[in-house]
Amino acid sequence: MRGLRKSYGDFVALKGADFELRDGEFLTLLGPSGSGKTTLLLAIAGLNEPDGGEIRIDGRLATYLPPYRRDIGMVFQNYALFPHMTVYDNIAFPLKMRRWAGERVRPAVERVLGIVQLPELADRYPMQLSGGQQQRIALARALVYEPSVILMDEPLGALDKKMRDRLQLEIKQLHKELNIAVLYVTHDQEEALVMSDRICLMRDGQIEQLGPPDELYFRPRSVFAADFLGESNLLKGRCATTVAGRAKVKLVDGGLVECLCDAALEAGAPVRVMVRPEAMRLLREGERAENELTGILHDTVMSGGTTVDRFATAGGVILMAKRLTDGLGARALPGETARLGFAADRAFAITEG
Amino acid sequence: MAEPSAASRRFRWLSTSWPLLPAIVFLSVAFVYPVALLLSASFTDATGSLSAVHYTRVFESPVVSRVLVITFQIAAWTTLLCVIAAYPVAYLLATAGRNVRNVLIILVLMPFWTSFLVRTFAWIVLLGRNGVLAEVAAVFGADAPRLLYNFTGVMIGMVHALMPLCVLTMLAVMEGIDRSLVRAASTLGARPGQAFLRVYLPLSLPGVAAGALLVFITALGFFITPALLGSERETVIVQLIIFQIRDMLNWGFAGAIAVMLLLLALVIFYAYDRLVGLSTLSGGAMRVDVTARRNPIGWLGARAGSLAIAIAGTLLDAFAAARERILPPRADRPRRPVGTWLLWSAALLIIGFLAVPAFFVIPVSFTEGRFLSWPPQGFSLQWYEAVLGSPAWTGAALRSLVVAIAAATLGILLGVPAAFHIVRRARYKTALIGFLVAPIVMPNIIIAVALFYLFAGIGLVGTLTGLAIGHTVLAVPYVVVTMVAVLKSYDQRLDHAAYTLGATPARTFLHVTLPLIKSGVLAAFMFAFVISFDELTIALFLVGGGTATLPRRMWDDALLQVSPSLAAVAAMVLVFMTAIILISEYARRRGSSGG
Ligand SMILES: Nc1ncnc2c1ncn2[C@@H]1O[C@H](COP(=O)(O)OP(=O)(O)O)[C@@H](O)[C@H]1O
Ligand SMILES: [Mg+2]
Repeated sequence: MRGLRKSYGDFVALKGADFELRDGEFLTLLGPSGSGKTTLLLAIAGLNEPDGGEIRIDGRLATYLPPYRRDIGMVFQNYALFPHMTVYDNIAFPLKMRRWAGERVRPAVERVLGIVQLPELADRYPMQLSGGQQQRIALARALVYEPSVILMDEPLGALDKKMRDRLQLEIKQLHKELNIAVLYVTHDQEEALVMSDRICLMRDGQIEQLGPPDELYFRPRSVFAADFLGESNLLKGRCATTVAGRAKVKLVDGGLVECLCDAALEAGAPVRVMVRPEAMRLLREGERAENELTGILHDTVMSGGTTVDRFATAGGVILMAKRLTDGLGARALPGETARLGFAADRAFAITEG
Repeated sequence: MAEPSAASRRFRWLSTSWPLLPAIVFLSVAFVYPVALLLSASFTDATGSLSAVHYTRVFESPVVSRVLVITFQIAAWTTLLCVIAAYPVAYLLATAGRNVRNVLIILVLMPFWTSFLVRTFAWIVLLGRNGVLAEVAAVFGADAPRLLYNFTGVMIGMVHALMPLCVLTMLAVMEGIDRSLVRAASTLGARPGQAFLRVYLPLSLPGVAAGALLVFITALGFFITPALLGSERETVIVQLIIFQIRDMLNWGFAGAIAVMLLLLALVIFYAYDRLVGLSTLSGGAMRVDVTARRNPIGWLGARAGSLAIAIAGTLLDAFAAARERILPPRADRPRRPVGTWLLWSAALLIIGFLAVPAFFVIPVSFTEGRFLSWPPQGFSLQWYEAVLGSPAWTGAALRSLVVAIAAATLGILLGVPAAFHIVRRARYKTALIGFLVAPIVMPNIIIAVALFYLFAGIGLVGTLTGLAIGHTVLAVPYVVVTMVAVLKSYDQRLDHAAYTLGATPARTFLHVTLPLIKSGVLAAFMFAFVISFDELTIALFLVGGGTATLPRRMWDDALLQVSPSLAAVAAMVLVFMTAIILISEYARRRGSSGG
């Protein structure tokens, strides 16, 4: 897919997006709502026509091909199960449209019902199913004709947290077993991190960054990316020197820290040093770290398995340090000055601008 | 523990159900009782003893059976044409953007709100001997086809009159259809034709069926259009009843014919219930419980329906596949939206047919000539002067206004509390709505004759009070239907919030509920007002001469001759009604955007 553009009236929803979905890959489009994910997905499905750019499916040009000629499976956010047909008829629908011979239909439907583990529901109507069941039937319907790609637009958005967690794993499992390419849309960063082979982060109709989850998490290319995926401490500064993928950064607050960086980073460039809260440690008396900062403890928040201590630096920046909750109570009292440390290879310099 | 006594149970029922009482008592006295009285009259002979003499006459009379057949034919053809024409319009309205929709819906509603009589006159102006069509044909040196005073004329008038009802009923269902379903079908491999036939059409079917039923039942009771646009041959059952009562004073026979009409309507309702289920009328789902044993009619219908869809789908698909072989879809340039163009042109043509004709009565009313003709000769206000200077016309207009306001006010007072009760409390919702809506379903002529029969005994015939009561019978159902819809979408938690903030129920109603439903109440009032202002059937029986209402006078005049003065009246009514619609539409928009 290349240089895809789409506007609604004066509003440009998609400003030239470019990516490739590989065979058997699980690629997630992640971005805040309104960033153009659905628009992009609909263009790929053939449900809206792009103003420019091109789409290829299995190497063949498909930019303006009608949806019914694309051999794509799509799972809609609200499932879009046909309410007037039974589960069986819903799943058999694409096969009928493809004029499959009658005797091949039933085994195929039963097979996918088995795959989604709901063989007993064939005669029910969609209204009689729970949300999670509807979701699985919608998936079965998109799988039954073995399309080369499956598109899913926030398929778990309407489910509660528990069900969502379960289905995330199930979908991932299915993807592995069936070895089909999946293009998945979500605005939930956690979901994207859990499920994807690669994540395509979108912002305002453009691709912000495309790469495997750990690359997006540890080497975000922009402040937006760092902020959108997980929490981060961002330290303003200017790059002093770079050597072999490592940079020394002079912070605005004073002090010099060492961190990882892109090869393209040049000395003198304004950067933000990103440190994930779980990489930031409260240092005990006499303990040393590669990089050290000082701050005043502001407060401590325990949220189940992890606890976050928040500090204010002299420059007024809030720093977060996350640790496993251990039941030993506070490390320091609010108002006390403490030293914080982090390893150079767990910090990354993001070019600003 | 002691059983609660009957008296205390009755008291408890009263203390919660009092909002229903006025409406129920009123309809029982002014609707159920007179209709029952009329029906019983049909079973007694001239001496007052029980006999089936009127029914044997009905079955033996060749006139009655011929008229019944033609009435049925007219209703059936009207229904078919209405459904076919209304479908693309409703589809367009359901799928177009909000702004487009808002404009188009006013155009569709325009004829719905403008007087039946005015619309019928408009067709006479357009299709008559000296009408617009004849004039246009003359320019091309051709004779205009005869479209008036025959079956075609009746069809044009009836379809024009009833199609908006059909569009609105279908629209209500189509708006509930999830757009992503058709998209899903297309990603699953269905061509547009198949996606429509197998997904959209079946889902819109409850709307189609409900629209067809309403049109058919209404058409059975229609007589203005057949009388003014048809010939002797297109005499309908209602005219027969009117003739029997006014000229023959034969109550029993008229009652027997009315019973036949009612039976016909009930048979249709029964078949409808078996086929699609009565619950679809209030937006419910189609019935799915069809097995050959329990419901053979429904079962056969469902079989036939899916067979028809399968055949049509296969044909369409074969056709589309053949086209694609000749003209394969191009992947490298946008598709041409041929389907959309077709839909738009068809729908706009139909909407034009609905909205435009009424306005032709305006120019002809300014003619200097003594007869209706196109183009109007010269320009003069003489007909307006004549009408406005005539106490007969101004008096009629005033009476119509008074009666309409009285009926609409009474309708609101009776209907709004009932609607509140139905939405919030009632246990037998469907039955209650069924009872309160029965007057719409019952052909007006039966109500008219029944009321005449009742009022004749107590001296209410010829009085405005009697007419206002009659119109209130019609107003209550419209108010109930409108208000139930409004209240269903009202978030009752707002009231609860007001209670927790310390407001009494009365103050909550006054300061929270009422402001929020104000525009709904106003819409219901306008609806009832227009129904009454335009009502002719009941007026035909209950008033006349010195107490004639506007429609009644227009009708009497039209039977003699459709003259330019009538066109002037029609033009004024049209402008008046249009103003009312636009004002209430404006109020509705402001109300809904503010709330
Ligand atoms: N049919 C449409 N008409 C006009 N604007 C639209 C339409 N669909 C989407 N948009 C706009 O395009 C932008 C991107 O929308 P969408 O692709 O749905 O975002 P996402 O799925 O990432 O939340 C939004 O700002 C939205 O308002
Ligand atoms: Mg979206």
